Amino acid sequence: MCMISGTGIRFAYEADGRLKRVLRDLDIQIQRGEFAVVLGANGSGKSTLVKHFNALLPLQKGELTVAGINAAGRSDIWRLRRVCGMVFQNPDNQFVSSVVEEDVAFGLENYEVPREQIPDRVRKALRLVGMEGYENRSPHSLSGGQKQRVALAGVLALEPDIVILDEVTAMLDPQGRQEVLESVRRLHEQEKKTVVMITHYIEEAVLADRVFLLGDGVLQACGTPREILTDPQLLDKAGLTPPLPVKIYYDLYKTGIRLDRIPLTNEELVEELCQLN
Amino acid sequence: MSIELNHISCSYPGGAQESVTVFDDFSLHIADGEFIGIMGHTGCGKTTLLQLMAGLIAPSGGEVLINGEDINKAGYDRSILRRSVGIVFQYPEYQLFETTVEKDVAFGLKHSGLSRAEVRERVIWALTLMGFSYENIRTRSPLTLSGGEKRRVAIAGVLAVKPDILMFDEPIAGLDPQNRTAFLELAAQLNRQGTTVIIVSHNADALAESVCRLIVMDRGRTVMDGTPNSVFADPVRMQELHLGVSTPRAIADMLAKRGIPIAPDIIRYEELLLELRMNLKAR
Repeated sequence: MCMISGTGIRFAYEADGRLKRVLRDLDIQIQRGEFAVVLGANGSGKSTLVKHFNALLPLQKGELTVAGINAAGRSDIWRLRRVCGMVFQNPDNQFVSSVVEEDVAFGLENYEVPREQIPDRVRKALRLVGMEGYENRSPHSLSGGQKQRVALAGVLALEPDIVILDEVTAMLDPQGRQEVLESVRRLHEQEKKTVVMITHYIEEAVLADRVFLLGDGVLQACGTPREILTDPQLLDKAGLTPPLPVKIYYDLYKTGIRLDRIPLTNEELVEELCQLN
Repeated sequence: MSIELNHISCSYPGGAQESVTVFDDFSLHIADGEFIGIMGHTGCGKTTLLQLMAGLIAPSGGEVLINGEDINKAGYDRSILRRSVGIVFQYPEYQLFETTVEKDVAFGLKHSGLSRAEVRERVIWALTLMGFSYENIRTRSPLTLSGGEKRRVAIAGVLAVKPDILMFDEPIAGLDPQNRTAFLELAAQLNRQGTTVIIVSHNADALAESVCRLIVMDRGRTVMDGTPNSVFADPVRMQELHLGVSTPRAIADMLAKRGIPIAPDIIRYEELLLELRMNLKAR
């Protein structure tokens, strides 16, 4: 079943009297429960696209249905934002409270969730991201990875169907990245959430069910990580470079050394190289 | 220009709680023309260090010397500091504020004494270096740019001043691979022309490919300091510090553990590829 279905999405804005087209009649379909990773060069329209999913940007032209809600209908906007939560890149400017649990409860209060239910929902959300025990801490005393997980908990407390992540690991150190990716994996696998994640770390795309490649305001390709990430020409056209193991494969190939299959991860590369032994 | 931090102490007032000490007797010397990378876990003091070196905050003890002069001494001409030290912050959207890209990039040149034509030339130079077409971007509002474009405009604004010392706090986050490569090449080029370049980043791959000296910090202290090859030669220590080594280094370690003989000082892509070729051809 389709969780997000868009056809002919067009988005343009005026700059210096000229029309700048960001999305050009883009079609996209993301299935319920799918982990979708969106890749694309800077300015390819990734953020613009996902901001349509919860009506942060109004639809100019085209059709878009998200979790059965017409994203063009202004009356459903708050219902839409409740089922489709979003976390952004900067861990420092997504907090409204100086206490973790109050911050996570903020969305619930706005949606007038009965008071007696709030503590339970907050606890459950913090547990999902591995941040129980931090209820009374100040968000500012947390590491980048912890901040992003609290921001994620704030979204999860609303029990959305879809979670959108716009470069949430970009500012984090390797440990913080791992923590956040682990939380994302858990809410996809255990909670069966539909996840849409934008990233510039191409190796993170390996985690996806499907990869959506954006370029020139349209969907250039979509497919499994293997289909997309092992195609250097396709990636190059979109201004991207393949993951390091894929690069190694092709560079070795050029000098007559052939591995049995194209490795996607470091582990697969090591396996392939050991088999040559 | 050289930078010298001698016996620095620095702490932040903690409000109701105790104040947080970032540095206690911290020293660091950076020679003129060095190309330096700084790594460290969140909260280790990297950003505070940049702010001290740029004179944006003053230490509570010790001295910061730029080109041998104490920048926090009474009577020091701070306009020298503003001209000679350029800093690009972690979140470029915080340092973009003008109505057009052109005005934003030109802002740092306001009191530089340059003529309007010279300012325009500098702006064109800086925007071109960052991969923009001046004509296409100059009247755009910085607010309408994408995340990666904002970052590049913020960098252009600092380059336009042509500082002798350039500091970047996490400059490649949010950049796509081509812009990442282009930025690192530009940093290397400016360094070859004599600029002292300091890059703070979590991206071990990028630092391995670019810098000549890598400093690893932990809780306000320098715990490793040397060439990237020597620092990444100790993956266990790096793991203890919650930091990664470069991907080629990590792959080389995995291969070594599987009994494949591989040189212990590989940290860059080309080094790994060459090693694999020789290794596999030999068999």
